[in-house]
Amino acid sequence: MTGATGEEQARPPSGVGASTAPGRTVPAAPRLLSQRADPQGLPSPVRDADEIASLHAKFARLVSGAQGEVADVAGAAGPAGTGGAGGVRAKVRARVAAVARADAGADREFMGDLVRAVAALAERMDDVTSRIGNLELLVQDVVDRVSEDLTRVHEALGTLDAPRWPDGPGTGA
Amino acid sequence: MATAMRSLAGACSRLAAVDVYVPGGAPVADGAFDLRPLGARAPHAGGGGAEPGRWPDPADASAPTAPEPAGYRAVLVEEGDPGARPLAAVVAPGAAVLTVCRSAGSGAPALAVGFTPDTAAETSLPTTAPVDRTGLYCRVHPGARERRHYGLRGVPDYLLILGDRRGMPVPAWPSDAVRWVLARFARSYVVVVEGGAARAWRSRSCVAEFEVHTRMDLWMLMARATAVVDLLPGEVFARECVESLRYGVPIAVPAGSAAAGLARGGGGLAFSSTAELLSCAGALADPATREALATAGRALADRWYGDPAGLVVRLGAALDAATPRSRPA
Repeated sequence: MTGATGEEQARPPSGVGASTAPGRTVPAAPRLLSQRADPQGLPSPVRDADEIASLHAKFARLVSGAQGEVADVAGAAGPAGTGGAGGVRAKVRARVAAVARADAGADREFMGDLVRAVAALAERMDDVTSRIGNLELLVQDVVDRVSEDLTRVHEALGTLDAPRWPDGPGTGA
Repeated sequence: MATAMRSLAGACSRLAAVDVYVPGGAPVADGAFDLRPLGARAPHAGGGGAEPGRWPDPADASAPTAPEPAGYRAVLVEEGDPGARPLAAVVAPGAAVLTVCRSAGSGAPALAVGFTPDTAAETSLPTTAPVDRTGLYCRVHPGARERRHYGLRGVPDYLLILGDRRGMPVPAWPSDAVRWVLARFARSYVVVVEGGAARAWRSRSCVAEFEVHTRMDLWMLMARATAVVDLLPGEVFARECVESLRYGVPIAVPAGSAAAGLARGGGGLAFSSTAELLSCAGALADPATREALATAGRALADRWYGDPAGLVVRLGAALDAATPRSRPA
């Protein structure tokens, strides 16, 4: 719909219509809304979105894979207390793995925080969406009730009783 | 009126040869009849014939160029066409001239195509000439009931309002009468058709908008509506109201309009003020009321406007009564 502004400005305020009969004022017709007042249907929850689910699944795999890697590294280090060149290499590998674990642990911790933040945001977004949906329903209900009450008041006051289509010859096309 | 005249011409063709005369222009075959022009097209009229021409002066029509053949039994002329009646006397000398009108003639023999159940009131009108009620044949497409208009996606049951503004396009915002209905029934879907466009409203806001290109589009909108409010019915026989009733959809129409007879005959309700309009729309929202009106209205409309054989019989009787049997058809 277009042209709402000019049309609405051109109309007198509701209830202040022109008087067509002595002592009687014909109310102006109710004005209409330039935006849809009916709820459009809520989007699906973000928490259930494929992207979020995929993020959680990948992170879970990453964490479980890292735990397996730790086990592998620990296994590769050999039994504790073995000596010789193999023992030195094992100690070096264990030291390297420990350093790597420390870095990977920091990354996983950061990614974990990130995944939890995304989940929290999704939950908050779903909550806000639900509230907006309730507000849309409320707005529609208010519009409907006010509209019905407005016309009922005019009907009760008899302001809409003026003959508009008199019982005479038709004037249609 | 053109629809009414063409329907009557079609019915007459089952009884006798029929010629259709039109004011001005060149001879045109319209698919059913060869239109015989009389007089010159108005100078301001375009080549497409969008504007009607003018009847010639009866004195000119009596010239040697007067149309053939003579020997017509009866001539049907439109009510409110002052030039047609004197011209008919020249083109078809001796033939009965019947005015096609809504319900009562203006002092001349007439064929009433509009429906008026209150015959007592009709006979009390100041007319001294006989009026034969013939009705018309108003076709509708039965398939319109089975199909849903593409523009009504997401719009469930709805009240259909045929607007009260002429011409096209019309402003997108509805007229005052429609606004009152939209406000009073904000919880319901209301589809407003005017100016070749349809707009669906809910909660005083437009929720769908689409064009109405063809008669079939309009029929589909009518056939699926819970009720039809026609704020500006046709002045002769209220074609859209008849079509709605033939689909079994009750109507609400202005009192005094050509459709008021259909409403009084049981097919709907009539209103004369905005308050009554709202009351009528509210009554039509009641399924039991709607069903009763739909049943009665459909029977009425089918009898007077959906029975081509019955129309031919009624028309034949009217022509027999108006013309001496000794005359050739």
